[in-house]
Amino acid sequence: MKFVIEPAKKCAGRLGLLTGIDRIPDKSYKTPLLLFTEQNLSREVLEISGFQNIAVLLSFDCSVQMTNALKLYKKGISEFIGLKECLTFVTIKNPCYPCLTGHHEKGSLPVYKKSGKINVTSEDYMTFIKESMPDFFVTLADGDTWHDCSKKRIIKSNERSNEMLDECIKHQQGIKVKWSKMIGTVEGGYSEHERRKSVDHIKQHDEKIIGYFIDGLHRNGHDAVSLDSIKVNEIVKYTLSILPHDKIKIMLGAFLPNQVLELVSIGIDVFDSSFAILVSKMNRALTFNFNLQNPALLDSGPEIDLTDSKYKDDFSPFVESCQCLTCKQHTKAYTNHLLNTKELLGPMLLTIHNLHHYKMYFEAIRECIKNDELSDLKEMIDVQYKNKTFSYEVQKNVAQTN
Amino acid sequence: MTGNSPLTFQVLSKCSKTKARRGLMMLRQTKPVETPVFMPVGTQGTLKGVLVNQLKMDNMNCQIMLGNTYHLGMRPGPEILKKIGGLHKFMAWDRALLTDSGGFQMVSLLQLAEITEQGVKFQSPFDTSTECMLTPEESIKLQNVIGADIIMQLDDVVKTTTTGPRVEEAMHRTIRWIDRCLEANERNDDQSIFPIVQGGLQPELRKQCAEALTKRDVRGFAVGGLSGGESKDDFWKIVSLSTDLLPNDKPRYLMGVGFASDLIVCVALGIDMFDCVFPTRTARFGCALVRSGQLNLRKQTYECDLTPIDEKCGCSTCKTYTKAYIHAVINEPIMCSLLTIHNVYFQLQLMRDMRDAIESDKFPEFVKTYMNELYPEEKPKWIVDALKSVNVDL
Repeated sequence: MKFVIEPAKKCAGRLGLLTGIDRIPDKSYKTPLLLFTEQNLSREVLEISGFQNIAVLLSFDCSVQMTNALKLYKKGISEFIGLKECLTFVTIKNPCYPCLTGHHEKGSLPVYKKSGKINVTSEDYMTFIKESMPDFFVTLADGDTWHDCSKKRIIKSNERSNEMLDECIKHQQGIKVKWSKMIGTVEGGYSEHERRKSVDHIKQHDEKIIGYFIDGLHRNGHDAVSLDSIKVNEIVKYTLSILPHDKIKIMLGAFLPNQVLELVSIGIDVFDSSFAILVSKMNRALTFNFNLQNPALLDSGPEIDLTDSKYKDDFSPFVESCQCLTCKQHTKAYTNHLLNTKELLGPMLLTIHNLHHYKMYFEAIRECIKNDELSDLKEMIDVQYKNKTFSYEVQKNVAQTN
Repeated sequence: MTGNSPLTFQVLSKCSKTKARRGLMMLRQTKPVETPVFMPVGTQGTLKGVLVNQLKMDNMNCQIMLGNTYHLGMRPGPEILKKIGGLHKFMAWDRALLTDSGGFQMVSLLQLAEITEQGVKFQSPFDTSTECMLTPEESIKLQNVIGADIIMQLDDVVKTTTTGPRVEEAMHRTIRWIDRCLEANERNDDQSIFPIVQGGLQPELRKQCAEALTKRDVRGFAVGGLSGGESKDDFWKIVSLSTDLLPNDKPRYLMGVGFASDLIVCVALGIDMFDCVFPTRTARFGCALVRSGQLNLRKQTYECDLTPIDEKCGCSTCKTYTKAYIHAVINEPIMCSLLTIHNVYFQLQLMRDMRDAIESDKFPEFVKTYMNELYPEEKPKWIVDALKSVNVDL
């Protein structure tokens, strides 16, 4: 794997190119990169919608039930889920779903699945990695820390994560397939001291680590939307300052579009689409404008709620100029009807639009870095999300047992 | 039939042994529908979890879909459909559509529906204090707004197993209602009403009904009141009688039939069009249709089954996914999408296979091979009898 950062411009943010991925050597991915978080679109639907050459984020909690099948399959999870030519990145928990608090048993991580809670050891996790053979995976870690959690919890999280990292490395040596590259999970909550300790520990294994996942700042789901931007930026900035400059940096979660820009300018290279997925689950379409050439803003705001009865006879697309399949072919009225009647196609049309919108947003971000216009873009997005109070709290999809 | 007819039907080839025929129905001069055809049911203006683009892909090539007037009349409602100019535009489907009359849903879904000479009286599902009335005229008015290429008359539906004078009353009323429907059709130049042959399980009544309906100026016929719990023996005999009574130069639609064995037998008996919710409904429960029956992918046995649902299937689901994958996502929306695609493809492919077999005059051989695969042991007596009646000896 090769990650090249373009020579730094005077502006904030960095452009990079990810190439030489062992399993798919002819592919390249530009950073800041958007990973497609697990969604419910089949390969055929993704193709029809023009989502080719995507990079996908899969999570252990949503895929672990495939382990036995993957063991026999031997071709890896990318092909198993019908996306063999796509870069696959495995994380522990799906960032769309809020984490549930559970008792932390020694040596294992509580993970909630629809069928209930399971305690995952490093061995379980690495068995899944071995059978699923993703291109990248994060090391198992206890990221159960948040903005006002106790110091004790942060210390505990760090200790446990360090142990898990050592275990992951031990188990990785037994894995034959060498293309699965390890991303070190950095913990430490909002404490600089603990971040430093986490980074120091990971650095001991630096030759095995090809990038860093900055974890432990939110608890997934809507929690990532309502982050305290200043506090997050401070701790991320500090963490990046003590990490090797040239390795890839990842943050996952449903950050608001303007928070993504903050993180981009600090130096994060990879994000995921969970924000677009959450918006879809809330029955809304993204309509925020990121076109600096045509900065006219819509009166309807950055997101529109398609269940609103005012759209029942609105035969226009979500966004006039949008080139996504939904907007080119369907109307707000049709989507409103599908949502009213609880038809499966409703969420599908929203997801297609929102993923397209978000993907185009990332293209705009890369363009803005190139043209040194990131601050202009930031201003434009800030205006649109200012004083907006959307809810992103989706009805729980995970059953809690015990 | 004039060159401008909104529905033309041509029999292209006929089986030399059975009553099966291959035909081409042209709707509004631009939308071809090859028959025998299976029409998937998109109740509320969508096939569950499937993009219209997927139905139009070359391998799938779905040419006609069904919508339900009762549901569409409730939501989105006639005002919205009128504003956009009909269901085709509303759901972005430029191929053929058929709508039912809405009567069947009222009788089956609503507890307090009452049929009078005027129409079907029912309580509003949203406000039980309001009484509504669906008359033949109302049904056609609604179907005119929805704008499907083929629309159905309101008929007097009785349970298949009903006996006595009620069956005869319903048959006569259905004949009276077709005239009211034809009279009410404001778009006769682009929407074709099919009358519905009723008469329960009594050949004499079916005969009377068919004789009366064939005197009307219509472009196709439906056979109704079957597939509702009657014995299979009665079922095939009434289907066969009905096709004998109906003219050869117009399409014949058997309502509510969609199991593979029923489709094959009824094509042999001379039916051209079918619809059924079964393939899409069973998909939502995690079941995949295969030539030997159906597979319930919820079962633990599929956890590590790395083969597609059917190795020979040409649908996009079978080309990409294994049974193990579908088992792993069993309660997710993607399961419904993948299985709906497979099951609809299964039905459409079965019809394509039958059309090909009829064209090359190998339909009887096709039927034998298929039935042997579906019933390797003993074949159901009704199937043996039905096929024997059209000179196919299993």
